[in-house]
Amino acid sequence: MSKEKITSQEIIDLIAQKASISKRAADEFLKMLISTIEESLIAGDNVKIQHFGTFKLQWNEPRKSVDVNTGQEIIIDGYNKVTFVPESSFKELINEPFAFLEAVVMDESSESEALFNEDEPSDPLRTLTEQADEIKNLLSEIQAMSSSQTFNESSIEQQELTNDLIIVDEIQWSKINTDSKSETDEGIAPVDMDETSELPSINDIEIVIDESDNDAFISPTDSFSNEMISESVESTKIQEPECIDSTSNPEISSIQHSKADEQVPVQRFANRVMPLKRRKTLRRVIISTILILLLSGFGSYFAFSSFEFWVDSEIQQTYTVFATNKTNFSMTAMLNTVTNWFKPTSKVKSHSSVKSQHIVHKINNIQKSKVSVDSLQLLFDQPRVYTEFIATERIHSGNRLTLISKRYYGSKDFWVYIYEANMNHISDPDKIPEGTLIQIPKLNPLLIDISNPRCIAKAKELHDLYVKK
Amino acid sequence: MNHKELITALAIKMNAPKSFVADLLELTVSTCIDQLNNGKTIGFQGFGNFEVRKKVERISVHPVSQVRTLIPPKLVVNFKQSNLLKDKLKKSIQS
Repeated sequence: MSKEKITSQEIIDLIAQKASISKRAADEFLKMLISTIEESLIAGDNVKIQHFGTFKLQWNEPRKSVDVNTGQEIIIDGYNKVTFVPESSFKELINEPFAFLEAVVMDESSESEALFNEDEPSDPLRTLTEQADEIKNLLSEIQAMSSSQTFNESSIEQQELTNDLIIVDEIQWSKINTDSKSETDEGIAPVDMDETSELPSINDIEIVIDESDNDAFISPTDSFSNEMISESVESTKIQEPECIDSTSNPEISSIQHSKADEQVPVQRFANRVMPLKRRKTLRRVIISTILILLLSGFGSYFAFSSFEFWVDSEIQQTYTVFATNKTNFSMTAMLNTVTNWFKPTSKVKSHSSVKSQHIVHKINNIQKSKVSVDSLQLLFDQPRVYTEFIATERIHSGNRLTLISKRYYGSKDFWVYIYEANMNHISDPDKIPEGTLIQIPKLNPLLIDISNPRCIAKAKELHDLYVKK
Repeated sequence: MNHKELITALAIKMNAPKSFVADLLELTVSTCIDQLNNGKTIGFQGFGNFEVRKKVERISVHPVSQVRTLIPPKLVVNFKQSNLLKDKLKKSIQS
């Protein structure tokens, strides 16, 4: 809106044109109108014009003031002032651009929003402790189920989060005790196998399993490494109390991501345990271990591929692991029964491979579902790059980013994205100089979903950020 | 003086029928409103200026309940009399 001033002459021209009368007649009419109004006002009367407004005379009392130059007190004489009160229809017509705005009661809603945002970072810690409790319960259940456990293998996958974004996936092969029972009873061994193979993924947090049957103990190692992901598999001890008297020395090998590296200790492992009958079970152990390592590697890769705020990745990973826990547990229970049906080892073997595929599929599905849920969060966290623009607007007086946002995106809350796209030439979003050209970015429709409260919340969060700045 | 009285007075002065004056007045008013709505300022020589002004948003605090309310910005019509009219009024009322 430009403050262009037009004179009475232009009004006269317009009237003459519209009423198809001569300009002189129109001029005469306007002068007459004004003089009549004046006369009426001088007479002390109000003048009311329909659809326009009322002219009134207001008496301003004389008042004292100080002369700016001399500093002396002067008296400003009282005078009459003509005031004009527009009619409501006229008023509304003029105020049309701002008609949709309503008075908003300012309460503590903005403060509560800030508090809500601050709560978020503490969530992962809470979920971790909850998870720890749940895992302990799960483990105790598993132990109760397999009271006649002969082949013990526990691995601890430990995730420690340090300041430098370190996650240490540590799988510890603490004990492998082979009893004569396992050799004689072929049925039990596969069952145990299945359970033990599931354990590594169940354990996410440091867990100490005390095996009352065995003298040996499990010592979880707290290792912090500066690498992004380090998976170290420690196969510590292999005890064979009855068959082999000698206790082999602890063997520690660290594996980092590559399958080839994983094979090395595993083969050494296999060589150490001689009996042929145990080869099959061992192979299964190896397969399941590789599977687990791949899964954990995939999980961590999945978490870090986003490499956004550590909080989000942490939440995501715990969620994923949490989900895996549940499926694994149910799978374990189911497969225990299944393996009991198929006693011969060969069948069990084939079955376990099928099972592992099942698990992989299941986990993949879970992660996919997680992706769809958290993709919105990822979308929020992604730095927005504005390359496509749907329109260009020129700022003029009375035009605001919120109004433009409402026009293009349907809600005035999303003005922040317009501001972000034009940040380099707008210093203050509240005071944009007239004539500034702003570009309206093309946004992901998921980001500006009016029906989604998360989108609104995100926009408000950004709003707070920019307005405070 | 209301609308009808104004029309009557004008009709007598211009020596023209009332209906004609009424139409002309209506046209004048609508023209003025149109121009103001387009953001223009109308200046009548010797009478005053009509102007559309923007009142910025503000926070009002209820004196009793202390409820803070954000009053949105709005556009209002403003009339400012010219100094000529001011002087004329001053003279005519004093005399």
